Amino acid sequence: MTQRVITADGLAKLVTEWAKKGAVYAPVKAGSKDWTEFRRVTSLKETDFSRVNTKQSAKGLLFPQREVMLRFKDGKSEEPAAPEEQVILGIRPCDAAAIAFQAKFFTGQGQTDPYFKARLDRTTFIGFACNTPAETCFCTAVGGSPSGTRGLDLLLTDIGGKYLAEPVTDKGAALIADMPDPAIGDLERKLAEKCAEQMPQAIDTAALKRRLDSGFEHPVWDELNLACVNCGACTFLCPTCHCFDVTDEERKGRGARIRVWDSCQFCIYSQHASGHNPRQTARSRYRNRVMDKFKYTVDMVGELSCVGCGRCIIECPAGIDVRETVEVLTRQLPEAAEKK
Amino acid sequence: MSREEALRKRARELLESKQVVMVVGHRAASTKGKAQPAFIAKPEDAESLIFDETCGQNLAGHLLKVKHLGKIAVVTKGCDSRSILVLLKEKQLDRAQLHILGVGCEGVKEDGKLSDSCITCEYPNPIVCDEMLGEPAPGDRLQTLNPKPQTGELTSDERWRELSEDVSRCIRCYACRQVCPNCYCPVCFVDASQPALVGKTTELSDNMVFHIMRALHMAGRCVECGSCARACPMGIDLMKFNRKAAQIVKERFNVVAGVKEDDAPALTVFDPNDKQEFIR
Amino acid sequence: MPGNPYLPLDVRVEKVTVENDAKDLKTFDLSFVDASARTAFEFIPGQFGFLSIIGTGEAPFGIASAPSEEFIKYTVKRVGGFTTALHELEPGTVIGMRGPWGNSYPLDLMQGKDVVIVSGGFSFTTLRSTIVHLLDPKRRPQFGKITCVYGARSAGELLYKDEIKAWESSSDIDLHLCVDKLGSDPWPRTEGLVPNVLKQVAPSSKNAIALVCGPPIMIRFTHPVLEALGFRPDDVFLSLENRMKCGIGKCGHCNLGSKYVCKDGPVFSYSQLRGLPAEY
Ligand SMILES: Cc1cc2nc3c(=O)[nH]c(=O)nc-3n(C[C@H](O)[C@H](O)[C@H](O)COP(=O)(O)OP(=O)(O)OC[C@H]3O[C@@H](n4cnc5c(N)ncnc54)[C@H](O)[C@@H]3O)c2cc1C
Ligand code: SF4
Ligand code: SF4
Ligand code: SF4
Ligand code: FES
Repeated sequence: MTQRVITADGLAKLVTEWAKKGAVYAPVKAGSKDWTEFRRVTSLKETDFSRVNTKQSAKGLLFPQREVMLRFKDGKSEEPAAPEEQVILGIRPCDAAAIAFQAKFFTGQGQTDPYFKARLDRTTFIGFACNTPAETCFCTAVGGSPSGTRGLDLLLTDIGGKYLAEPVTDKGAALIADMPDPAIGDLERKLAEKCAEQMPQAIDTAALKRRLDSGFEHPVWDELNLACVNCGACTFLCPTCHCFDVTDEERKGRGARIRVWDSCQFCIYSQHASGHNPRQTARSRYRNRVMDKFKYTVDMVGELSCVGCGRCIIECPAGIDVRETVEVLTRQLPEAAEKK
Repeated sequence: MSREEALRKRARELLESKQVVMVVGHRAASTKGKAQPAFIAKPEDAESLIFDETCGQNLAGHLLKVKHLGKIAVVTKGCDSRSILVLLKEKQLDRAQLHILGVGCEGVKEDGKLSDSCITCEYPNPIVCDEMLGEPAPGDRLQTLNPKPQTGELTSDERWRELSEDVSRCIRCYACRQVCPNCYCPVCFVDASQPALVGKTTELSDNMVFHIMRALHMAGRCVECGSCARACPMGIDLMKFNRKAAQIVKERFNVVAGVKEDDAPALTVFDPNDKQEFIR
Repeated sequence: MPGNPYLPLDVRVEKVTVENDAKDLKTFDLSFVDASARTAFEFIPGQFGFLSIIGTGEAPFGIASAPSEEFIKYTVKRVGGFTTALHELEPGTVIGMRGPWGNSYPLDLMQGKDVVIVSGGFSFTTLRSTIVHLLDPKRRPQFGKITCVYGARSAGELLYKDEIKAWESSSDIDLHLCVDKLGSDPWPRTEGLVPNVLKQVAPSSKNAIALVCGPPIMIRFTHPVLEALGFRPDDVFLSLENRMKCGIGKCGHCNLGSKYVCKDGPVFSYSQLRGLPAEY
């Protein structure tokens, strides 16, 4: 599909236009705080693309932390109205890949989750390639790229006040059909390569997976989790984590069935009504999270559920680094014998 | 010998002579400016211990995870020692099973800036310890760096607005509760299901109930180490709640949490002569 | 949203039966408010459904009725918030139900074979469904000998008393009832724990499939007995109950390693379970 060049003015016009037709979400500086968040915008002026990643990923725009599943009044229940059309502008390639993973998880393997699907069908993804990685980024180590297009409709690369626009889908191509053709060739790829060079080496995720396949009982887990305090910071900020709880709220005959994010790091997550808890220990919960990212979802839907965004590294109150965990596991777990 | 060298040397000696089974301290995390709690069981691993301005985690709570192993040595700055005292009074720890390695603290940093709770800290040196490593920190230096935050002087409307703005960002990850050395209830009130006391959503009302109830549970027990505020990924200054509660406890009961070995916890004693009418 | 799997269908409580002396086990017979929905609700013994009370919540329960029965039957133990609300329901009330979810007992595999059913406590529910299904005169000739060991703490705790009394005298099934402690009641006659009784009954493992459902402790002690009788891990099937929130493999709660109990289970062969973390 034809690449185009968009000037800053051109992009500003497009944003204003999109905002008239539906919701546009883009990174915006979070008040007095030193980070950016996806917020609804009506013009390009409000946005701030200066950070590599937003504090929270874009996952909440498709899988909100609090989502109404049913509303009820006087004993009658109804489904919520269909969500609005939305454009997510400035999502980084890792976050877009994470949503592609979630899409596979929520709409594949058996039943389709209708709430996620309804939002996915109404969302246009306009990505922003990364020119300089953050210290905590490692997308290239887990199969991604700073200019990756997975999950996107359109990828923009900042080429100094102008944007190179690469359509990924027809939907993306249509968005920029009126923009001029570029004369610049591979500049974007060069920028991406330069960015990727600054990132860590690829993890041999296949070898790690083979080790995890037989490493469930290995004593290495006894040490790995000790510092972990079993909070939900890593899972809630992780763009691929998808667990939820369902809860009813009711007052004077009106209410709603709501789902809220949940975390496998919380003790009550797996506790039966009898009090029996298959993952009673902090160790087993930490292990579950790591196993889920690098083994379980590979078994389930064929891919890792870590896209290397680094949020869990930045926010872990115990200073735990998933890259280090992976390194220790790869080093200490014996490689499983080939399965017959 | 620097303080860090002394720390490593003593940790190694204690482990080699089997006086303790583990030393709980800090080690450098892989990300710049961050430390990680370290659980050292082998003498040779004592080399990884550090103590500097990145070591903001309160280690007292981590002791609860390893106390079943035997006698533990713990690297203890002023606030850690206050938490240890609270835990001792609440019968969560056994003094005979602890070897307290005291360190004077010059304040810990978060994103390169001195943490708010360190600016106002009045107890940079351990209240209890078995030995001091290095020189004690000057006791009155920190609080003169900056005037104390003025939350107390806002009107209640202003206070509500400010707290609501903060608390509305909360994502209920419970990092604040989990890092808190004095939050150790087997079933936290937010997790209780019969009856469910707090809504599970991130609506402002649910968030506010969580934070107010937590602050009340911490009143008279919070040692103002600031761990919760530093842990919060959403930059919520939880110390606004905790400082206020501590201030009230001090005014009404003349008790400051974890600074005396022999006083009773403010809110868990029954006294027929209590000034408060409602208690009788 | 077409085919929303989270949307409960309206069902009416037709009958409520108190099953035990402690009165904490009740059986609910449910009919669909929209009668055509009954035909659409096709299930196989071993599957489960979610019951829903608007404003209170929902929870998973094994289907206790057989596919050929008119009403959908659930037997529920009162343990917490939702089940208490359920126990308060009067006949005629309309509640919600969604499902059927999960796999089932391996009916195809059982064709032409002996069937050994082992159950303890109130988990007998889906096995009742299975037995009623197998004993259907049209279907009975497709299976070999059917042996069942079913036990409870006391006689009063055994479910479906009228039915099981009738099965005791039937030649279609070899039913062994047992209780931990014999009471004054002359029924049942066997005292003993389920695994021990199973050992005495010693059903043949030749060309046989075993179905097991009960509390974790019973499962743990039953398996060695089955093994000693010569049952291969491929021929023993267990039904699990992990915590569940969605029933369709999305919420994450029920995972056993890479498998979801709700979607890939709740029935697993012992050989499958050996390849999975024992997190149940
Ligand atoms: C596949 C399956 C089949 C089941 N079949 C039966 C049955 O036939 N009869 C029966 O009495 N019970 C059955 N249970 C257990 C039943 O689901 C729980 O007892 C019930 O959820 C408790 O709800 P509560 O709100 O009363 O308890 P609370 O203690 O108040 O539970 C608190 C929360 O935990 C959740 N919870 C706790 N334990 C479980 C659990 N094991 N599964 C799912 N959610 C849980 C509840 O949904 C609730 O939200 C089954 C469970 C599963 C998974
Ligand atoms: S790894 Fe860190 S962020 Fe995750 S649960 Fe443990 S302490 Fe919390
Ligand atoms: S596990 Fe950590 S680095 Fe990987 S995608 Fe999740 S938050 Fe990002
Ligand atoms: S750490 Fe922050 S975001 Fe997490 S629960 Fe506490 S206040 Fe909320
Ligand atoms: S109950 Fe939600 S994944 Fe199994």
